[in-house]
Amino acid sequence: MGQVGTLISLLPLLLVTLTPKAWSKLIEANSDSFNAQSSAYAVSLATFCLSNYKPCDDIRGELKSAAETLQNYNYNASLISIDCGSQADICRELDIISYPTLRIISNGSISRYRGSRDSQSIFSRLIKELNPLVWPLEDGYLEDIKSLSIPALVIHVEENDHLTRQLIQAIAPDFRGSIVMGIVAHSMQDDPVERDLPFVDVYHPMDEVTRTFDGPVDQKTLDDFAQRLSRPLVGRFDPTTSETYEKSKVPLVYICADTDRERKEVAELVRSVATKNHGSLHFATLDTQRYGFHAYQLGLDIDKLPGLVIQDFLGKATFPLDQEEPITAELVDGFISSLF
Amino acid sequence: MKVLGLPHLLLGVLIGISIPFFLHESQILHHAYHRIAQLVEKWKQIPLNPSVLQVAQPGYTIHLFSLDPLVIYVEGFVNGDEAQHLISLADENFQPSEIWSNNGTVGTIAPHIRDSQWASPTRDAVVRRVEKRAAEFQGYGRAGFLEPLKVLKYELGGHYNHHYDTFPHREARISMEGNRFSTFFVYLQANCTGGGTNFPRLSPPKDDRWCQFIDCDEPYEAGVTFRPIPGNAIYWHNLRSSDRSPHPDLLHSGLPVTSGVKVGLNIWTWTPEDW
Repeated sequence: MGQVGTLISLLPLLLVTLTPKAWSKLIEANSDSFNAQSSAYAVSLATFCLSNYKPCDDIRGELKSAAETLQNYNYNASLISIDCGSQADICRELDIISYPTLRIISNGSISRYRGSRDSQSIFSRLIKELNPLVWPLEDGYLEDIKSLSIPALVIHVEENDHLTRQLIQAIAPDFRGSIVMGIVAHSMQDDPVERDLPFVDVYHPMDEVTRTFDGPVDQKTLDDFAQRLSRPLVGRFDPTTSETYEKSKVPLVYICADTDRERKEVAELVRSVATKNHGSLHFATLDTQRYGFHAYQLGLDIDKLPGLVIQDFLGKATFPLDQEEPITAELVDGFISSLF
Repeated sequence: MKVLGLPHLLLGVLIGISIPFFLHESQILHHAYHRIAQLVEKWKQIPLNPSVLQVAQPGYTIHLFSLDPLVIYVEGFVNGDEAQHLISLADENFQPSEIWSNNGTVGTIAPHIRDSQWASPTRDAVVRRVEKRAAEFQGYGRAGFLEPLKVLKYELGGHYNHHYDTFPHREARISMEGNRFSTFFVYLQANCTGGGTNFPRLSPPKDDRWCQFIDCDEPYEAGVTFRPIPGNAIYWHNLRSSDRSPHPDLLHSGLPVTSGVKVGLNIWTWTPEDW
């Protein structure tokens, strides 16, 4: 019920330039109409069900709620319901073996929906599939954004603040694919916030240090910040990122530790040094629980971690920081100055 | 001591078994597990495979599904003829399935928890062949004795809520020798929708090739649901080797059959003596 409430409270969000259509229902499809009805929209979610079957009855309210939200945002997406009791042909053709089964139809291909079966998760999944320039966000959005593994900028605005909406719409196209832009509308009457609107939250799941935005919300400041945000201050070195680091030829400072907590601690410690050397040095953490062999090959004693080591890709040399000393910003700063 | 020892001995003679020591649990528990202990003694006496029988070459393929708990998917564990034969043996004897509950009640019929029919097929040559295959699957001399096979029929709405196949650790330790060491659940017939076997605590595999055996339309949070496919079996080790206690991740259920009929076969092997 809370989710439904949240969704309804967010309905005014995109209504500025859009006119809502009539209150929507779930679209009922049959074997003949299924293809046409699902391809009439950019994205459709089809639910294959049985009448008078409790698990299907349970999900119906959630689907209706998600359909209404989509309709009111005027998104190019639909929810379709198919009764496999009466439409056996299409259900057999699609190999439906249990109920409810949820599938997503997008660009003519069908994939499985295996997320949670509540209206908010279903709605989020469809939005993800549509991938709009600016995401309308709500309370449960954070996990969705984290799962994308790219940085996110979330602007909180007062619901009638059209200027800030336009601002984020204006810079969003430059960052498509590298940063997710989100907007949360607050109604001051129903939902007072403690901070002054507008403000910006930053999420950067792949950055080992916390980034905050405290500048004025104007186009240039936000644009500059987004530029910097799209490159992590302290990234992660692993098989998916190693090639990028090596090809950049920029010397890499590894923060090597066994636990996530230790890596984040050291990353926070050296944040000032990383900021100072942004552009001339890369900083990344290395999970030595998994990739201990790499730390070993770089010259660290893997029994005395956390440790820090710098790899110069051009000179093909590595410089481990003295592991007998506790890591501090001053120590790292001095060490870097002595090398470069 | 003699006064105490005599009734104990008499009781043992009376029911044909000896129990290791007196129970300090409630009398209900005592009686419940007593009956199971009696059955266990009986099952142990059943010879596995008298020499005259031919053992068919197994035609199955195994797919290791999980190491901890050990779960193996067995493709083609029984062939079509064997499945048909087992069903026909059971067909006239089906009766409502009972539950053997953890609170000590034995043989309750509770359709809201378990709604199916069961029958033990007559032990003819085919049954013995399947028994032998099940025993040898587990390694030469590595399996304990088998419980008599149980054929289960699930019709529209038929299901079995989440449960463990094992008896609780403590109760098993104080009132019976061993426990249900392993389970085969074999699908004999499955012209149905629904009726999958759900393990809510197993993690869904990422590789899509499993989708031929697993219902990949289930939400991730629902765990793993095996599709009912005739001839195929799921095999799992119920007990943890560390302390022989029931593995908590093996909670499972027979999901409701939404159309058609599903017939399954349970093969339970008890703890081997040298384990």
